[in-house]
Amino acid sequence: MKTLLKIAWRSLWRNRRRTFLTATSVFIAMVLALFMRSMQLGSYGQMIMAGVNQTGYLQVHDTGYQENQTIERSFFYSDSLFQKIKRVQGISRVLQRTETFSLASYKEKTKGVMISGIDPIEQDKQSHLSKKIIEGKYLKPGGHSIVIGDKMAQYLNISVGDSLVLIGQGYQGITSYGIYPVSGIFHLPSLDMNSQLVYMDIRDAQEFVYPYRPGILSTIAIYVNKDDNLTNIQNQLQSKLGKKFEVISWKVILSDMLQAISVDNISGQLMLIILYIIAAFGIFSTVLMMTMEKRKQYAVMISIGMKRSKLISVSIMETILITLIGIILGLLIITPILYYLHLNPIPITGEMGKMYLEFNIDPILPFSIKPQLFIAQASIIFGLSLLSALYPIIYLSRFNVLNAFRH
Amino acid sequence: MNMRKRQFLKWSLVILIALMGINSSLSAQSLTAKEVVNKSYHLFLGKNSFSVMTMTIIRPNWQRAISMQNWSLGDEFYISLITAPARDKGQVFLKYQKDMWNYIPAINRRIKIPPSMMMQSWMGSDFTNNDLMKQNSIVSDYTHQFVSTEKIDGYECWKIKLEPLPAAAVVWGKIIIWIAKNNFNTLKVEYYDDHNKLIKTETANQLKMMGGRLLPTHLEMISNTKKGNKTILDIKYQLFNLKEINKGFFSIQNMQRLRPRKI
Repeated sequence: MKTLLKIAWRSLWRNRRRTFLTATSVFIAMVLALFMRSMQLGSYGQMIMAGVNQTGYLQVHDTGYQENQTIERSFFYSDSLFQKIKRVQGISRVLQRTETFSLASYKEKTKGVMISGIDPIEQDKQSHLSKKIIEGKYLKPGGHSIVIGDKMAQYLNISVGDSLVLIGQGYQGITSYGIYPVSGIFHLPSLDMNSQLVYMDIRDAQEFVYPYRPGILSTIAIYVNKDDNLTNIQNQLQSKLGKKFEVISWKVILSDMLQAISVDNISGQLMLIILYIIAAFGIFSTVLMMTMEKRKQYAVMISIGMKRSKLISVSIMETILITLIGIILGLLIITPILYYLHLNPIPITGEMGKMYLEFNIDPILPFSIKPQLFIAQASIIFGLSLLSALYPIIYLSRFNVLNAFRH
Repeated sequence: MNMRKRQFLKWSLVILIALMGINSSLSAQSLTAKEVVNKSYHLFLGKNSFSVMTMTIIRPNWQRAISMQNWSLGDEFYISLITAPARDKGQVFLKYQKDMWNYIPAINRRIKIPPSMMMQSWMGSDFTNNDLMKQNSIVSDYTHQFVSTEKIDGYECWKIKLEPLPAAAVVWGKIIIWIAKNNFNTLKVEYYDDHNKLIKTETANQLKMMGGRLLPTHLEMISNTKKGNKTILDIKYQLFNLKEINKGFFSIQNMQRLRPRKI
């Protein structure tokens, strides 16, 4: 075996230039595929994290709210409900939210807005809203104030310290109204949020929506420690809370985004397939040349009693060696680059950057360095080279010594 | 010559019979469908009007009653003052030509309802802001066609089909309306969407003499898509052609000053 390997290694270096070129084609395919996939998967991961950070991994609503998000499908806070939720293992944070649509008016301007009642302190630990305030101050618990997006402030021509009038429809058809001073103006990555979202203390929002009974809620957002056992937690919650509540996973809440991702992913995979086909033909042509070139050598060796199976294993080893050189070189060079880009993502500017903002994503190009990614690319290319090695196997097993001499 | 004369007589006889046929199949007054709808629409208007009504919103697990007084001038000016329940008392809605305003005394602010909110429900009822704003649309934005004659609550009615004009900015794909032949009251309306699906049904009954006119006092708007959702309007009092109502009454400034009228 060792001798065979030695023979394979030597015969590789008999034609250095060719070996070098083949290894390079594998290397380039490897580097391009990894770079592309790393960028794609990285940006998907980023989109998902940005979304989940807002929505929570799971949301508990009154059954039917996901389909038809009206204030009519609200429910009321109860200690027993939260006890039930907190008893489930693996939950890191539980946030209450009261959300409703309303009209916001300042002087002569009026626009439709979304009011999001949050726990100012707990929510901030999750989404760091207080760091996004560009003017004024963040919400103070019980401060009876609001923070609004910079785009909305610009449209309504309102600034910190002015009071915004909110008029909407509350629970069970009551008219909701209130005047709230603007304590701060935030800037989030999303244009939608900057132009439509009004954050206020959840107690103010509850008072706004239904003043007759405290604790009205539209959503309980649940964050988990590890998302591996999310389905398990979801099932536990659903069975504990019963039919009156629905437990929705972020995959449903963000299904639009996931769909966009899977469409994009297919286009990425198509590109990869083209890349692989090119690499596979590069390897195959070398294998073909090597086999043809050694026709006479094979004939002599078989004539003096060399087993065909040994010749076959030598040629397979040659193929594997070339591919391995390419793969290892590729990994050695691309891994540090990807790691660097993972730590220092490329910022995106211009039109593309704006598009990212509209999808509520930071305009940067992050790179994924998941080990699965590297393993998958290396093994696909390795598999392709093994496929090329089929040619010498077939050729040698049908090899006719006399014919070979005649040429 | 004789031949021609005979032919002329023959044709005029045919035309005459045809005309008589059309005439008798319609009505004695020989109104067009559009005129009938227009006449029915103006029954509630007068030159100006004042009314007192209670609106009851019925939902599967709650219901709520709102009392109000309304003033109108033609079909371009309209003002509503909420008198009950206590939380909403004093709220005023003003329709001023193409704009709609809302005044809330508790915070002493008035806001203009933006066009994007026109399809939202009004005060949580089955009426949209648009229903209140564009009532005349039923005459001007549709083609009108007699379908048949049907009886509703013992009243002989025209059944009229309304289809939107190509350029009209309306939400309905089709409206079917039943109008009583002898008093021109609209007794039933069915609203269909673009896919010919029945969305809501409006019925009117309990006709009484109010302000010198025979008018329905009990109106129901029933949602056909949301089970158990309906809105009832009970008209308690109605006056027409008041002397003191003029254009100045329907001003933004008057929203703050408006007080309930003693009946």
